[in-house]
Amino acid sequence: MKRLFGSVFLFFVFVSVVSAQKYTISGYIKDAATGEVLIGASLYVPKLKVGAVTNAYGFYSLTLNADSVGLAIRFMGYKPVFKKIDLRKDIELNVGLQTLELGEVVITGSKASENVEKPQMGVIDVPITSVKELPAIFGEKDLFKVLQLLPGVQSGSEGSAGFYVRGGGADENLILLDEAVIYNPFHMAGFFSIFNGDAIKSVDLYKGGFPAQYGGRLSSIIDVSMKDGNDQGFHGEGGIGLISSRLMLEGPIVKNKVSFMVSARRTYLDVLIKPFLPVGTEAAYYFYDLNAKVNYIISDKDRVYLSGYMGADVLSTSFSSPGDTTGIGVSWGNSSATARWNHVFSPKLFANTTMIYDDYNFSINEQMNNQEAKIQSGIQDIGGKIDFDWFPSPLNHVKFGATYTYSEFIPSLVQGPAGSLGFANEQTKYVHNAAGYINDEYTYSEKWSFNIGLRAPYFDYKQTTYIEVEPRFTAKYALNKTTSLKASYAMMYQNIHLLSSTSISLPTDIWIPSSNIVKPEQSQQVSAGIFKNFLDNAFETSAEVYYKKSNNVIEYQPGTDIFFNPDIDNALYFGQGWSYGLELFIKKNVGKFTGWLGYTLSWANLQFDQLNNGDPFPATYDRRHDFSITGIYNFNKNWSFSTVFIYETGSSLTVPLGTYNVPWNTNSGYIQVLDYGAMNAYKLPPYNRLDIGIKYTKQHKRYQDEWRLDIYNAYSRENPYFVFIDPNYYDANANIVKSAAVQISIFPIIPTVSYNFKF
Amino acid sequence: MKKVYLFIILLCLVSYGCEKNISLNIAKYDSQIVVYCIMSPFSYPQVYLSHSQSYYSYADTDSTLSNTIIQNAQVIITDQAINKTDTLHYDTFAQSYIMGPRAFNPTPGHHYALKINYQGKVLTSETTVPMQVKINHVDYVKLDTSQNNPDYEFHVFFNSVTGGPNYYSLNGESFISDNGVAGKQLEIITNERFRHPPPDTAYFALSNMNKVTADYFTNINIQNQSAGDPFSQPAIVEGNINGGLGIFGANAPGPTLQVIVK
Repeated sequence: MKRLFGSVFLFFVFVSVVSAQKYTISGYIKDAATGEVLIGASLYVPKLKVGAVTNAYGFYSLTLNADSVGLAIRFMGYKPVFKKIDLRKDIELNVGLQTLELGEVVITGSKASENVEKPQMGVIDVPITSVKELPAIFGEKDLFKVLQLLPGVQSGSEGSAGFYVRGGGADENLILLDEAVIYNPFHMAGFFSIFNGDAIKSVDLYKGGFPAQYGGRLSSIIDVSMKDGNDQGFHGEGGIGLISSRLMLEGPIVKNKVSFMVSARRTYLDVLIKPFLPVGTEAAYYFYDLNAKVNYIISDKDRVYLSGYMGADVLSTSFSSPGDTTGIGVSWGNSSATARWNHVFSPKLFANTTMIYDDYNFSINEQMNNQEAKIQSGIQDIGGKIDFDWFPSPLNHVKFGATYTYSEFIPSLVQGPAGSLGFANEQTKYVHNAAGYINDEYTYSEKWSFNIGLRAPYFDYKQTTYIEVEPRFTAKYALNKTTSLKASYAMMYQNIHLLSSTSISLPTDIWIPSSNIVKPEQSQQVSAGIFKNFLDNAFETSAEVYYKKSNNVIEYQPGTDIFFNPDIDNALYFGQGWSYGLELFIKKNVGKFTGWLGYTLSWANLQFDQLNNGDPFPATYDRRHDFSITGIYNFNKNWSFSTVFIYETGSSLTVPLGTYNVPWNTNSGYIQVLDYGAMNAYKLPPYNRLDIGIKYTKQHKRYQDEWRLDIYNAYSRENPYFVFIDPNYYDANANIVKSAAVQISIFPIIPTVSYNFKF
Repeated sequence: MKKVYLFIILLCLVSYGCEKNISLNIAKYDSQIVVYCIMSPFSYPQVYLSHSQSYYSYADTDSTLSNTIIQNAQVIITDQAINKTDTLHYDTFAQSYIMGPRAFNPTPGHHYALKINYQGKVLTSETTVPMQVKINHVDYVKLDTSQNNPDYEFHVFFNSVTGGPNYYSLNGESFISDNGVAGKQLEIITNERFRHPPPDTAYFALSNMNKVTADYFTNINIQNQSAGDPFSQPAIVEGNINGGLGIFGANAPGPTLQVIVK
């Protein structure tokens, strides 16, 4: 099978190379006003019906016959550029595109017809403008909450930024920020993500048909790129909200050569709460994010990017009485640093070399009368990768590369006076992770194109080595210029696993590597869909079906202590999962009214020999129906209105149905046992919510300011944050104590006013 | 002052988050027959039979318990090793079914079958009584010798039984399994640590159970400990009764060992 796959791959490259032509046009496509490179901008030669698309660094390469050709360069939201080129030698052509006039609103960043034309499916270019425009809780614009509005992406509990893609678990999403892995992308127990929209340039969500350069998680890849920094002029934006404020500054250090971007956000609940605390007590909670990036264009062939992120949640309290002072501090957060070097070896060969460091750390400090104890856990990665983009002909875009990461998993490191802590250190786990890949986007004809890839991950921990092979394949058949059919297959392996003690994201969740006991999780996904654009790409529509089968998925035995457990591997159950569904998507890209409508019909099931009598049961976030609609209406240059409506079937819950007593060594001589029936057999009430946003923008001579009113949960629906079974619930109406299911709802209608500015 | 107002508004909004009793849309609960019988060597089997009831109509009273007891079922236990069968009779004082005059003691290594007839329903189950295990020796270990006030703990050594897997419990505490190491010497370290130095006297009893019994007890303990915890994973208590709930388990307690630390 592997041999056949390799032969087919080489055949495609060979067939197109032997017919390759003499000269190459290559270069970068940028935003003319900011100098930001544009990812996914298209170049098209109508006469020859061939084209190219810029890569993740804005680079393109197009090899053509020696001829005089017309070239159309397009990117959604920008004025198209048409160039006539007399191609008698290799040409380097850097193009700056001008944004459309204000009022001509667009909500996507990619080429308008890319969804139909590219042999890629299950990918969504998440519109950053929507992240900023749509209403949000406490006015905090959140990337992940916009992801939850897309088909195939299920939200977690009420208000949570956590998400589940195509029936996969929360740990099956690979989140990359400038290529660094972010292990815990949440603040405040999952209510907010760490991504500050001001600092973000682009976000791609892959939920199927994964290109071979990505791997390591079963269900999705979220590839977030930070802004490079404006190399034309000094600009900034920021805002003051109910719980946080933020500021982003960018500008040239050397015009057209070196630019920077820095962005910061911090909450101020700690400051607000201070006057209300009793004398002698200190208590604070805040979170912050810092993003920074510098990019340096050394020459037309070389470019360097340095970027970093640092963010944390900090919770501290101290109280003192005469002769006794106690302080407890809890903090958790991520930091990452990425250094990248782009080099153009030739007009047909582009390379990016990256060094990456990332760190997730959770710590508890306790200080009591000059004695200090500390508990720490986390992960540190250091690694490098090299990625090549090779354009042997207009028909092939070959990507290949390799990556290596050295990881340290610290399950729990305890420091303090001997004997003062009742648990022991767990051994740090040292892991080697590597992968090689090759991927060819091959255009066979006007109708047929393919994306064929192969990824080979390598994993090593404690003399346990796993070498895997992941084939990837996508085929596209164009019915006409605006309609295409696509099908894909992808195999993925996951060698690190998140153990979470609750259904919400907490910093005490532990990542563990695969071992001789914990086998790599594996998934295979097939999907097919039809993609159709209407009215000159003003409307994008798609319908996709998928089926995903996962093996070695993990649950832990009930009652297991996951945080201080040196033998955690033996406390796990291994099972299988399968999910399938239909996703419908309609998006309006341009005009005064923009927005989208998404609907998902899905099933997600799990099976473990040790659970539920070995019978399959629904996953917690097996939501049958998930419907969302978003809309942004621009009345004029000053006023705009936005709205979000969500309806989704409630998540699954295991609840007691019956009860009985059995003899036991208790005072009464018996103990009450609960009969739960089947696992996750009960569905919580449906979740639905309407959010409304009204924005007033005023353009001044030197700056623009904006007032926003966001109304979260406009009809104050009492959605469940969680439901628990209270055996001693007091029913005030009946004046009795009884067993009852109790729903906790936390967010009623929440209006928020915020102020934003831009200069 | 503005900050104070902001904080009060925020506090009001967040604390408006509410708790309410919701009625679960659960189909009518069909009561099931519950069996509880643990076969132990040298003690006559007792079979407790009761009805389960809807959790949401449950009240924790003595009358609740007595109202659910089943008194008029036919309960038969067969020792398949010696092909001997006994029909148990209901004892009002013990509130359970006990052996008659032709009783037999459960014997380690023997396989037993249970059959219950009640109102046209037939419940069945089987279990094997595991072998008893003796403690080889006990070490009294001093920890953290650098401290003025060190901890002590007991290390209990025994030979696990071949076959299995078997599950061992020391003084009724959590289980360890000999899965993969059956027949070898195993060690259990006491959960409790002691701060006082010798002399000390302790008593140890080691029980050997089969898997279904160990899982049953473990899950009941977990369920009991996590009662009312909204974030805990529910521990589902699975038994081995065909046609009903509960357990027909087996437990082989070994002799109690007195340890005197001088």
